[in-house]
Amino acid sequence: MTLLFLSGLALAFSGFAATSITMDRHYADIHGRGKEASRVTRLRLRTLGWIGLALSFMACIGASGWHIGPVLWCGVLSLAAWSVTLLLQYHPRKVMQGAWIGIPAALLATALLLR
Amino acid sequence: MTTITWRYRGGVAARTVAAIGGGYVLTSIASALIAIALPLPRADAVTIATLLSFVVYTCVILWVFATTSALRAWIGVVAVSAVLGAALWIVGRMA
Amino acid sequence: MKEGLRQSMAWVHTWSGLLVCWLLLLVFMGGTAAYYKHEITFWMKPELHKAADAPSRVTPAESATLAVRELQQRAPTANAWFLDLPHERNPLIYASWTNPPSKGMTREERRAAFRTQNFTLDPMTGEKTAAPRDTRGGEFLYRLHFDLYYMSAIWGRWIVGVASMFMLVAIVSGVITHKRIFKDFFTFRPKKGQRSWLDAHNATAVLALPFHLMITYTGLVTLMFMYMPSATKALYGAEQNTMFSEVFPNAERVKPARELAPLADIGPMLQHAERAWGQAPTRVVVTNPNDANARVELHRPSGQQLSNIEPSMTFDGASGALLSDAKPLSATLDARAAIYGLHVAHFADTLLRALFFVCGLAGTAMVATGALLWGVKERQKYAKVIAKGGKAGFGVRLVDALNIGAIAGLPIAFAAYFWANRLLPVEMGERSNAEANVFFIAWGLAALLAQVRPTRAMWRFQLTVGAVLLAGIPVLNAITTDTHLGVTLFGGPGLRPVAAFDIVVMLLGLLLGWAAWWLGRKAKKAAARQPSNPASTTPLEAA
Repeated sequence: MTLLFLSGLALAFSGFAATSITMDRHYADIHGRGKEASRVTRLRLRTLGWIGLALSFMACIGASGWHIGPVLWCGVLSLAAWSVTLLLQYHPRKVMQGAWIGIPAALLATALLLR
Repeated sequence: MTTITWRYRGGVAARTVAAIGGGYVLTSIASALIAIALPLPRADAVTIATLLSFVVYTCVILWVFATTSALRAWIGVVAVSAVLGAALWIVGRMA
Repeated sequence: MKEGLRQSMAWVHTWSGLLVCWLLLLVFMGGTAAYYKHEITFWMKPELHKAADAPSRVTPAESATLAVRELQQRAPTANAWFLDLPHERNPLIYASWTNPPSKGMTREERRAAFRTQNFTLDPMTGEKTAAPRDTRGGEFLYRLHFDLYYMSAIWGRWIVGVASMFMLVAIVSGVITHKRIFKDFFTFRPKKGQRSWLDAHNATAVLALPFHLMITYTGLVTLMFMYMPSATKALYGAEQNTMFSEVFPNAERVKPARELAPLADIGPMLQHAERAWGQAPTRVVVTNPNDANARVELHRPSGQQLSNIEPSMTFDGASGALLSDAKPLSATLDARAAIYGLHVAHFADTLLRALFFVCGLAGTAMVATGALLWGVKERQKYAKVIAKGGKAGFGVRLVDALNIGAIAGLPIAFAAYFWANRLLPVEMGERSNAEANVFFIAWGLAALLAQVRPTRAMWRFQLTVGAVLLAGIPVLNAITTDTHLGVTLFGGPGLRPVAAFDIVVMLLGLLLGWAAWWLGRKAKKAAARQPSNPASTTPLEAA
């Protein structure tokens, strides 16, 4: 259950990280002033972001059931959002790198859920 | 920035009373009406009506401050309370 | 107010928030602590630590039988017995009882008597543990956040209820007025003065919005029939008791038959329940023990349900026969119980409980940053006046003082409460009241000092005091008890709550210490820029 929680947290972090870097302000922080994400990048990253959040939801349901799971998910989202926010301010490039954690987390969550 | 005149202060005070006091009266009437109107066993009706009352109260308070004048706020709260109150009285008579 | 929705909502948000923020800080801090009230109570009763250290190898049925044997000796004619059996958050057997109210007892006398009507058993030996010191422990902090103190509970609940309604309005108006809620979702820009305070307020508020909305609404729901009685009046008239027995059907207490009938052995009852549920009962309530109408109710945690109502099984006390299971609730009543359950979070395991705690802290930070932001913004308006050597307005000074008293003063009060627990003599009379008084004396002193001198130096002073007191608790613990961090970090699972308490208060103390240091650095920077301005007496400028 802890593993599902951790993968849910990682997925939420990854999802938020992906969506945040498409936002003008944060993209500019990473790539230089005035730069904006292209439409394609924005679409791709935002889709991945939402998928990450959805998978995070499933992981939380898997961890705690259909009643408590959503509550757990809300807490996970807050934790992930705060982490991304702080990281974006102090180490914006690490947000891009950190977003990759979503892939192993997704694999782990899927494996645990299908068991 | 709005100049802090006595007229302004009066408006704020009027809205505050309308929101907190008038809003509570309106909410109470609405809650009672909802409870009576719901075609459910008493325990369920009273629970839903009471659960909803805080939502109603919040909306009334926000509307009172969002609407264009303190006068409108008062008219609105009093009018709705009167209508709902009349409905409540009629339903009470019918029972 | 002809300015448009966003502006009117901004006004509502400011005032509905500001007028009650200092009380809300108390409610939030108390409530957040209350998520760990059992652990806090356990930390505050060091006499029980030794018994909890040994792992319990006694079954719940055996524990209950031990407790009942003791209860038969001490309280055979009580009107109800309550047993808490060992489980995750509480490794000992805790039993208490209530007596029928005897004539002529005042409420104070009854409450004082009730506090003696309990004992704790060590499940390993079946013997009573060493008598714990008289303290209300975490229960004080829990009750504080809705009953307040030094007043009747009804008054406290009304005051907190009004403040909660203000808070609900503040949350909703805040969301409406927040123009860039999505664009600024991940925005936090430090070192930019007013902008930074706003970012902090937004981050702590928006990023835990589901929690804040939930906790405020569900808080009102816990006392909703008191706050909004009109629906009850409409459907039940004056018969409020009927309403309660219909909305809370499983809380009914059967009346005693006044006919003696020895209580059946409860061991088999517990075993039956454990077989049926697949898990052991954690709570036993015996009504009318040794009476023909005795009832034994077994409860287990609600598991995967949000409802705070624990599933239960009722047995006839005299015969031991299983009576009907608890009546199933309608969907509506279930929903109400789930809404209530969300607030008290009994369903939360270690991880989720920690998340609730963190979100509670975020709520505290949200209220604090909001109040600080108002002060910073308001002071901006007086910037020119202040530059010429004038003084800021009365409102700014008052808010500054109240902010210090609440944001820095309340942690001092909490710390003082825990220090009092370790330092007040164990034998003293009215000890638990004295601990509570220390809380308020400490808070009162802090608030008073803040009113006298609401300066940056006072901020640093009070934050430092809070930091030292909180971070010093593990040290105090080591000096005054045997179960300090050196022991509890490496001991059995029963002592982990004690270690966790020490670590958490230390971290909170370090946080306050960091804040004090940061304020000091800013003051030095400001002084370096303006050597003629004595930094230590400057009130909190546009940060």
